Amino acid sequence: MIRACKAQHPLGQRKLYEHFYSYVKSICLRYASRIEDCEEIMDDSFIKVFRGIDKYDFERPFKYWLRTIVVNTAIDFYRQSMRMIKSNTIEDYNHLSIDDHTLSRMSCDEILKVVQKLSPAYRNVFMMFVMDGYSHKEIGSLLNITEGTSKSNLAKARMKLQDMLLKEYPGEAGVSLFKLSLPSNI
Amino acid sequence: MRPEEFDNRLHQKLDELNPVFNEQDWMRLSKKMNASKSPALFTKRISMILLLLFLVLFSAWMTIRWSSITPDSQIQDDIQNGGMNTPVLAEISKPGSRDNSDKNSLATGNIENATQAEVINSTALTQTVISSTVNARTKNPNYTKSNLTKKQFTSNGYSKNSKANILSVNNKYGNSPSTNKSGTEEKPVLEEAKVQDQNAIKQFSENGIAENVKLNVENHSLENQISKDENGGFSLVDPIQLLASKGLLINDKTSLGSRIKPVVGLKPYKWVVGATGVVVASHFNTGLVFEIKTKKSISFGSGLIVQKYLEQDYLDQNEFAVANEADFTDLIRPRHSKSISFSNIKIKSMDVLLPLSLKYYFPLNTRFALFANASMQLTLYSKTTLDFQSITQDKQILNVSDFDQASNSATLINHFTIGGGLQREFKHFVIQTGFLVQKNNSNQPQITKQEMAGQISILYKL
Repeated sequence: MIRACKAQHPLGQRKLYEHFYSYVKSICLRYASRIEDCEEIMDDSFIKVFRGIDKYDFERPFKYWLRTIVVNTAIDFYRQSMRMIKSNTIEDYNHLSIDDHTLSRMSCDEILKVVQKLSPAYRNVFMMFVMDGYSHKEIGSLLNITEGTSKSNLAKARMKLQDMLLKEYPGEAGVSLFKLSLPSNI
Repeated sequence: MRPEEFDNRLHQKLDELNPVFNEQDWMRLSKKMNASKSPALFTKRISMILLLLFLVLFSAWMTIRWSSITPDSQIQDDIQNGGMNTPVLAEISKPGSRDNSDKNSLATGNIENATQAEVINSTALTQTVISSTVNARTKNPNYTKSNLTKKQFTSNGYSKNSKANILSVNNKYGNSPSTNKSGTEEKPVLEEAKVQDQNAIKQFSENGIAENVKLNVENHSLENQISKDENGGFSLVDPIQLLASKGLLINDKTSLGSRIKPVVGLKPYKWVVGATGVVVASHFNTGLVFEIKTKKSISFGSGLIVQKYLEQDYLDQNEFAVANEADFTDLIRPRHSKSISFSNIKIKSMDVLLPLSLKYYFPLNTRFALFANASMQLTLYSKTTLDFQSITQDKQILNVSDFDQASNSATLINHFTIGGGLQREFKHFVIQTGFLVQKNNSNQPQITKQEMAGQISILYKL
């Protein structure tokens, strides 16, 4: 399939697209704010893949190479808006109030919707660190920010996610908070 | 909840994402990919046009440059400038006469004092008039009037230290044709005679000017006037022009340009027609072509070429059986089809091309010349057919086909070639062998964009 793509064969390209469609789209969905952005990132990524497949080294896992291209494309897509937020303040959030039960009750689509509401700067750092396993050093160099900013943005991203999850899907956490806020004599 | 746990939970949840393949997404991507190819194609087209333009301009520049350095133009300049740049040696080649009386005519004629003049009268077997060329070069640009007044005469040659003015008329003639280094047929020199016009010399030495000096060629009188100009220089009236003005030249070679004898040159011809064949890895071309050649070593060509692809040579059932899907599709896929699932069919592709070529010749001698050419081959007609005749009934499979002739005409492929080669002439025939780099503007990924080709053409001179 990859060899067919190297020969710029349309059948090979189609097969590769079909095979990695789900994988690439899920990455794009995580990094994109809107479905339109997701489609654009996805298309740009595949075009890069098809054009640059000559550079692919067969010794390396193709999935890893593909993911790198998709993530880089997503970063490029939001690079302009990410420049606005650059903070070196590392705030300490050692504990999150959201509980495991609340998260487990939520579907992946619901979580995705919340994730997509994050600002690109926070979302990208969060996704790169949590989902794609980049280190803060790598994130810093890829996003052209300091390591400290990366850590800070990750912490803020967690807090914002938690807040949004609790706000959108209060569930038991919301109920418990409500209960706690009620006067004890009721 | 600890942040790490939060991350893990989200990771697990987001990993559950599994978007289903959507055909529309692929169509959108295909459109984008095709659209993104267009600028590259446009760039290629522009590059080819610029290359052709460059070749044309370069050819024109070479031609102009070659003309501008000819001795004839030097003569013109020298005559117009007069004085210090008066040509001191002029060579008049006359391949048009075999009449031995020229010798006597020249011997009895009066040639007035150019500082050194040489008239070469070559003979030809059939013609009897002066026809051809004038070459002149300045040998002594520092000539002054004072030099002229202190002249010394020798019978032959030029002595730069003696301040001598030498007037010599060399009459070279022969009876059998030969070929000179320039490639033009010329007659051998058998004898050389030198004449010194003592009267003219005396007149010049006394007055510094001589007028109405007569040069007799073939019993016709030619006035060759040298006179002082305002700056004290001398001007020379071109004897060939005078001959022409007197109607002594019977052909159209009286203009200055036509009298230039090229240093190297091919035998003159204007039209050639013939057959050509081009062999490329994926196809071969055969056709009829013609060329029209200008006087400036440039030729334009066109014709009609049939291009046949070699796909039909691979129509073997056994090969189909062993080929994997991708290779198999590659093998049999029609050139213009967008379909991707063909199997067990024979393909025959044929194009009719209109070549437009431009050649520049670098003559080596009368028979051999190198040439560089650039051409564009426009596809006029393209046809691809499917042939099921040799395939068994149970193996006839045509899963998907958007194959139609309409798509052919919509995706006509134009070719661009650049290359060079060697031309050899045999009497009325011209044989050209060349090597070409052929590119096409196809955006079909299965068609090779650039190929090497060998070409041979056999042409007949009209």
